[in-house]
Amino acid sequence: MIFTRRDFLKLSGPGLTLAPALLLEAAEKAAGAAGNQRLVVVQLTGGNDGLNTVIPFEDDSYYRSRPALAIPKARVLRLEGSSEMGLHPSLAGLQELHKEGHLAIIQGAGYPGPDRSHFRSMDIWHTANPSIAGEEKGWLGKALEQKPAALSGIHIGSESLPLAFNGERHVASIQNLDFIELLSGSKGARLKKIMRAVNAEPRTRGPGYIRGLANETLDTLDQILKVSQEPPPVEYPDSELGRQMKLAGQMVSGGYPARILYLGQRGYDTHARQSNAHTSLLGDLSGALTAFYRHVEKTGVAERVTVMVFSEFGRRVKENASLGTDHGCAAPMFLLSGKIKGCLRGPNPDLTNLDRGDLRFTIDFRRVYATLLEELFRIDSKKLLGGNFDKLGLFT
Amino acid sequence: MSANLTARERLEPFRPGKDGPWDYAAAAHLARRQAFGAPRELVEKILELGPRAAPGALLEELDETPEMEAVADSQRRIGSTEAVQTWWTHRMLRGNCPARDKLALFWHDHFATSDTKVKDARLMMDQVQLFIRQGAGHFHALLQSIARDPAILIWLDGNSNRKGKPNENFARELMELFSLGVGNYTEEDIKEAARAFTGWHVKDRKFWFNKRAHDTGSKTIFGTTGNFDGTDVLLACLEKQACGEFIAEKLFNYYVGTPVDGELRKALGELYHANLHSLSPLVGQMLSSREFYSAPARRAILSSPADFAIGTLRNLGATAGAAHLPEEMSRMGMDLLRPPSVKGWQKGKSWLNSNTLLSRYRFASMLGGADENSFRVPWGKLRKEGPNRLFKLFFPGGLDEKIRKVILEEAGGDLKLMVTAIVELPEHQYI
Amino acid sequence: MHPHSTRRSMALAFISFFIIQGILKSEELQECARLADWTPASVIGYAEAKMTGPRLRSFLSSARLKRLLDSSLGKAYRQGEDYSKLIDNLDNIEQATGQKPLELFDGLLGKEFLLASRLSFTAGQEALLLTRIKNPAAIARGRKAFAAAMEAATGSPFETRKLDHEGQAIEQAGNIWFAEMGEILALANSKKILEEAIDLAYGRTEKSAGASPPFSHLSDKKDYLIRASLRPTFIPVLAGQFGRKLDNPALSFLLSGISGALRDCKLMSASLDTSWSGISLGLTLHSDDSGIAEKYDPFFPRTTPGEFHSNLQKRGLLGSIRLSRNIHGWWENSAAFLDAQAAGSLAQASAALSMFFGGLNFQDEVLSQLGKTISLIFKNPPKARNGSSPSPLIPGGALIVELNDAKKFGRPFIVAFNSLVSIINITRMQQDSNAPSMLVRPEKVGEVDCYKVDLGLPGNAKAPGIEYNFSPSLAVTRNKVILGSTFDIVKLLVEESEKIRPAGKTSVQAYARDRLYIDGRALNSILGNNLNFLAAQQVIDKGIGLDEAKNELSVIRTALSYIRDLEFESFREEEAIHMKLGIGLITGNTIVEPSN
Repeated sequence: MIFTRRDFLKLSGPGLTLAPALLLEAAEKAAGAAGNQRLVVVQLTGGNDGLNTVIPFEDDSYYRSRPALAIPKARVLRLEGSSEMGLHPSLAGLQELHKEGHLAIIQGAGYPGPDRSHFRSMDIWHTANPSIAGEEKGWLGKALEQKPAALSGIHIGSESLPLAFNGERHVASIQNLDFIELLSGSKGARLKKIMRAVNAEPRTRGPGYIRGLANETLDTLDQILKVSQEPPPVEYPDSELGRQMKLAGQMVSGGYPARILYLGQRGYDTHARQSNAHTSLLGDLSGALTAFYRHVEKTGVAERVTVMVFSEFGRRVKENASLGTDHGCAAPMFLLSGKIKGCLRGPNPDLTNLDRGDLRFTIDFRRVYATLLEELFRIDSKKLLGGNFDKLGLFT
Repeated sequence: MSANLTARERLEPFRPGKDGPWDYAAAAHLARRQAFGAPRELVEKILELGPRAAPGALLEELDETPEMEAVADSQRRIGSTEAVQTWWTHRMLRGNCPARDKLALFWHDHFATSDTKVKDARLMMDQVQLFIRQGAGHFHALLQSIARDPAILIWLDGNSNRKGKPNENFARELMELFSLGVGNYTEEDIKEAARAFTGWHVKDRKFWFNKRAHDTGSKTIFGTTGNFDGTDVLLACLEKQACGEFIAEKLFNYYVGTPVDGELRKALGELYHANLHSLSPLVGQMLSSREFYSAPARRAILSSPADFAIGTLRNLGATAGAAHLPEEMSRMGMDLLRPPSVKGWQKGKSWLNSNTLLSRYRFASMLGGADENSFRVPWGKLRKEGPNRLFKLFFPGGLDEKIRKVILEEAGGDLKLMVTAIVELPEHQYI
Repeated sequence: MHPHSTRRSMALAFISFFIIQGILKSEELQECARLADWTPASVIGYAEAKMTGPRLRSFLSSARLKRLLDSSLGKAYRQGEDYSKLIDNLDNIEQATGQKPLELFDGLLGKEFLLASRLSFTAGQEALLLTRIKNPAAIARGRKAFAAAMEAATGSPFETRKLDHEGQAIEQAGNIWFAEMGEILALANSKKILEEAIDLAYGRTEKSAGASPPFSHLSDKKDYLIRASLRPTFIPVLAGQFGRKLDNPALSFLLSGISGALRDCKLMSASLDTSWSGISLGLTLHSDDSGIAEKYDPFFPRTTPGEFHSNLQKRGLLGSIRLSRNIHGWWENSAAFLDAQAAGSLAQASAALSMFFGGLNFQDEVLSQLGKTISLIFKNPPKARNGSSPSPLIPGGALIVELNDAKKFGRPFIVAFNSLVSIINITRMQQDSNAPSMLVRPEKVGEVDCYKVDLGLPGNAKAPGIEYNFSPSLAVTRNKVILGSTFDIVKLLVEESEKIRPAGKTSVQAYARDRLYIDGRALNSILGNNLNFLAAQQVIDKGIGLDEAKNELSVIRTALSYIRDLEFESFREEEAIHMKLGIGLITGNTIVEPSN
């Protein structure tokens, strides 16, 4: 029985998953290095202007289509190994990571029959189904169902749980970290002590089910509390995304059991006066991603975590009359990991062969999903995605 | 003891002294089940009334005070779902007749209608008021009334049910969920019943019998033929033996909570008929039976979010804050006026998973936390009464000595922490 | 004696006399016309008050006060905690000092006093109090009182150390130094500032606050009970706050002008006056010679004053807010007042609004057509005669924006209005296909076209809910765009607007005023109209009974009945900004308890 999104959203409140921590630790130890890969999904909501993110600075049509918004050639950050493509000036951190070989840029990611509606296109990315019609399970929700013992997920952010997690497994949503305060401070410590004592005792007659549940809940609360108290060895930007990535970094470094983490950044729907807004968003993104990578590098887990950055669509090639851009189609994705082979995949954007003014996609985003599902979690992507999508050789 | 009795004997009245002691713990057990929580005044009143008289008396209380009328009027005027939810939680928290609201909550779950589709909180309020007024009367009258309720007709696509194009939604749920239960009708019965209900429409937010859309042809339902209309179908359902058993069993599960076998089911059906379909005496008999006061029935039901939140507040003597309750209860899994489906809420163990358990802990923290004034818990009075009275208030039947000790040790000097710890105890999640 | 030598001796004597007089004169106490003349110029600011003693006496013995204290409100106050604390404190003072507090106050401070302050690195915050004593006996009584209090507190007899500053006796008690100079008593918490005051008193120096340029802005008018002046630039914490860029566009629209004036402000003066008919508080920001920076001009436009608002008030308003701004100027230069993110969000809003106005560029083509005054009007709806008013009964409101040429540029607003209604209809249709559509109906008021939104609510409702308060309407008159929550309020505004004849070209333009006005009685009516509703909300939130809730509301209504109105004005006068707050009171012979 499929949960409708409504049921699902109601049940997954500020809470935690059901995966018992002990079982997970044992599974991890047994599986060894290959079995404990983590995925961090960063969603850019609003439609990121890919053309100004990964820039074809040698292409004249780029400058002709965007007299006001095009990034001047001199300011574009060059990418190692490419003479035609570069990065937006705010992405210095990503430029460096690419040089070090940890960043893979997948150009022209999209899907056939592009939809330019925020909601529908985002739903398509979340369910990996371009012909979605009604409630469906999300790709991550299905992944969690496939490996209930090994995999658990967590959503960090104040929006409702993403459709990507829709499925039979419960997924937590950490909204304001306020529930952590339930157990912090001296009062919290005393309460915790009572609850541990109370839930440990088997009694002659009693609600055993609840005790077990309560213990699990306390365990996971404790874990989040533990990892979030360890100050990270790097500075994260002081922004919403920075704070979320900081917690993700702490979780990944501190051994928090969740293997799929989901967070995001909003504000990319730049229909007007795009320049400043986009610059500041990308700067924030680059800062947060770089800090995250350096964090996991320092704590030695960089090869066991992969960050995937995507947006629901790109934007039109031609700028509009309000110094902004309107909804488009294909756009680049980023993959960041110690285990990845840094590269610039996919053909450079072709500004002469457009689909009603938009860039055509060259790599189906489901190939990226397939790659991640198989390489990180050893899940049969064919069944999950409902089709055969060739992996991209991205991982070492 | 229950194991050796026949089903009929289990349903016979509890005899104080002979079948067990009639004490504070027993009275509190009734309070928790029939109303919300077990505040001292209520338990003492029940003790005085005695096990036979108490359930009926609790349902008879006058509950229309000027406060309740003023609140009902003001919330109806605002007309939003939150406003109407607050109206009801305020009734549950502060009303003189919580037994009626508890029974109305049962009917709200039984005839589950969700405002997400009805989109009219005032109609939902009308429906709840119907349950409050008629929920303890005759089931016949209740079913006839609810079948004409605009909210449920909108919910079950009444207006789409027309001659020549019948919509079976209403007829199916009527038989499957509202009166008979699975297995006591056939698909043909549903089809024909749907035809009988054609024309039962809603216009201008009121029930309207649309003559032109009504199918007046001959129909065969439960083996009988005639040109039945909706009222006839309702009567036919009500007269079936299965109906009495179905309703009585559901009420038994709600109020008593011990397992029901075939024999008990039959006995419950007989009880229903013996009371001539009148619900107050039926519920009264269940709640004054040997079975109800037997050991397996004590603390047998996992509290719903309403029982948990409102019961806790009533125990503590809190007087305000109904406006916060709908959201808290929703986090715990019970979004008032918006049940997840026409099947109502999944009860029992389904109330608890790690998310909803955490919401209960959050609520427990809220009681003594920063927002202390929102529920107006009389901390001064509780402090004067002391920790022992507090334990007795929440666990009149006693509490494991080890647990008591741990709580007193860690939180003995801090009453608010004690209350939080007590409310989070697994024992407290059962009523 | 030789006549020659006599004359010489006399001359010598005469000269010596003058010389000695001169020497003696330099040691003589000056006359103190203003206390500010004896205050050192280096102070950051000072507060002064006159005739507080007699005014307090007259207040306490007035018949009106007696009546107030006997009213229901007064009785409630006298039973409260605050009142008993006040009485206790007064009793304590009387016990400790052995004298009545009123006498002490009147004698020592009642005639005139001044309290000044300055910050210094060495001495921290220095304070100086100068007070004109009522009569010599008052000082003696004061000493006695203080001594008694100190003895009671410390248990040992009170003694002061006696010092001298160039001939003037100074006494020290702990951290307080004081000196008696004629009818002026000077107290300070630092010896240095007291000595400077003494020097001023004896004319040894002329550097007083009274004579210094910054404080010269202060007017000589004596229409205040208490007045304070301050030089804000000398307070380090504050100085950095003024004139900085804000992150909230609405806040900036309201306040950036004042913020800028504060930045350029050399002296800030505030005055308070009270009487039985009202309380008034005024604040003036005086800028220096360079004046208020030009970039703040959009906040202080010049307009022709008109009668529109005063006429409206006669028709019975609950309240009104009038803002005078050069909207286009502000929007265009928003980068000067807002930080990058806020300015960006304004740009995005501009783009979004362009869509509503049928594709016109909002900033350049719509805003530039707006006049310099924006008003918000609130009026209580009439209560329905048959008793079926909606509950809660919400006051109607309207937004009035001036348009330079409504004939040409009024159309886009009508288009925008219709677009908005359509969009809302479509959204509602998507959510609930049964929802009634909102229709826009044109109606004429005189010659003016109005557009009224019909919400599709069923008529004859027995218990009309909150939605019955609204019939949103738009009207475009000759020179105004009026958007109101009810058709009645728009009709009223259109009628008043049409009555006004357009100002001629020769009419005088003056700096426009910002004004906020609230009618106390109308405010009280809102409570009256919604008593049951508000009481029910109190029942839910506080868990009290209905009667108790209604009583609480009645007390609030009684308190409100003493307030006639509240008015706040802010305006520019060349290089000074004035802000005035006035609360009109009704404390006359008949205190009206609320009737409805």
